[in-house]
Amino acid sequence: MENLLGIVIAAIFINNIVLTKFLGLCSFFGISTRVKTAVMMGMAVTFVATCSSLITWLVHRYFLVPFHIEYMRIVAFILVIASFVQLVEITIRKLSPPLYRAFGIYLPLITVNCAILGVTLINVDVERYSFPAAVVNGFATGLGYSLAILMMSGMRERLEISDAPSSFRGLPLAFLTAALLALAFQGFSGMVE
Amino acid sequence: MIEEMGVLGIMGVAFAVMLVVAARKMAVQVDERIEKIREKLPGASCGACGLKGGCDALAEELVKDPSLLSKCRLAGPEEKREIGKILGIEVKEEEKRRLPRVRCTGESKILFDASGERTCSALSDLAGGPLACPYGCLGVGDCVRACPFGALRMEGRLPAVDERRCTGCGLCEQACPRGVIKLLPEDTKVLLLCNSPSSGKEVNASCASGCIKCRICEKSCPVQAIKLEPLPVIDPILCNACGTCVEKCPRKVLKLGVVPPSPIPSPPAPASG
Repeated sequence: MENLLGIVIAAIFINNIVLTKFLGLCSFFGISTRVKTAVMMGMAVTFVATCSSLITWLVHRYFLVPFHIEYMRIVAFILVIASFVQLVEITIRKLSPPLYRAFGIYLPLITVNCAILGVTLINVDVERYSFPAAVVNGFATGLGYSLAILMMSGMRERLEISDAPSSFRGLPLAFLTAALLALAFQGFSGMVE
Repeated sequence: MIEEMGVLGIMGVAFAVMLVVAARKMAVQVDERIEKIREKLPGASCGACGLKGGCDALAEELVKDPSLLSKCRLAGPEEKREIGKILGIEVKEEEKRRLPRVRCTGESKILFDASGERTCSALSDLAGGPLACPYGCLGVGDCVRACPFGALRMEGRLPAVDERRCTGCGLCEQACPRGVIKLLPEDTKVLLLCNSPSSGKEVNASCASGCIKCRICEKSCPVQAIKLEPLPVIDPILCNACGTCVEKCPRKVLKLGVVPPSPIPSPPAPASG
């Protein structure tokens, strides 16, 4: 039994999916211009990461391992994640139109987000977590993504009205900010074994 | 080899069946008129109709309440008639195009330097603004930034309107914290270049031009089309654009209107997303 609290702290701070592992950068830069949309994206990623961790762990253990085809995991996982996100989208659209409108483009964006695939692969491949640990890790990774994109969007909202040289405005400043944030997160390394 | 194909094939088929079932069970009835109406709307999603979601939202609301059609200031009479046909309502003849008019000469005295402020609304709240006239144009261009069509630009201390690009959406009017910009019918015959209802004495003390409520225009008008309340209001029906008031005004705040060029056709709708 792993230390679940340790997994949570590791996933949020020490091995932050965006700022330490550099996964999911596309949406991290694309959606971080406004705090409101960043929060929505963070929630969507947390939800999908948790559920995908759950399903892919089961698929890995009960489909791939028995047939000794673990090396097909990337194909299988993408299939699982894409189908799952589609299913969620169809369901939300029927059951809660306001939520569907709020998620809007973010849900389809997550389908091909490498942060999600990354966390599922870490679960079964790198860390070889048990089932509860994998789900907790998926959830905490989502939280880590939310934290990173929330901080980033808060800073970008302020940077937008700052008096920066014109060649630095927009994405260049965002890249610099992300680099400094990543450096700051290096300070957490080694906190939990 | 066989195992891989088998497992992945089964997974694929299973997910496909699941999605098909879900799509059937969870199918949402979408009114097909919405899509058709959306195509006829301008697609600029400027927000002039007052709905947050732009043209998509307006199309959805129109199906429920066709009377909202008049809220769209961009769609031409042609498009509105077609949308009316889809909705099954009669669309009345459109009123004239309305254009933003800047009612200020920009000649107010400046009380203090506030060049650090980047928005008019912030500047307006700052100790009543840096201008001696509390009604004058602040000249920082909130209206320029509000315009989704690039029809406004700053020329010196005042915004200038590119009438060919203007669609009359009225976002500049809403953006101005001082009400300097007002939308008027495009064929308004005489335009007023002052926004201050203050007394002549106050205007005289604060501004090099500006209406001093002298009533010369009112008295000189040969057809009695002008009334001061407290700024001159010109009756569009009585006025025959003779230009007497423009000539007689001692402060030169009246100007003859010119019928502007018709707008250039609206650009293709920007891709949403």
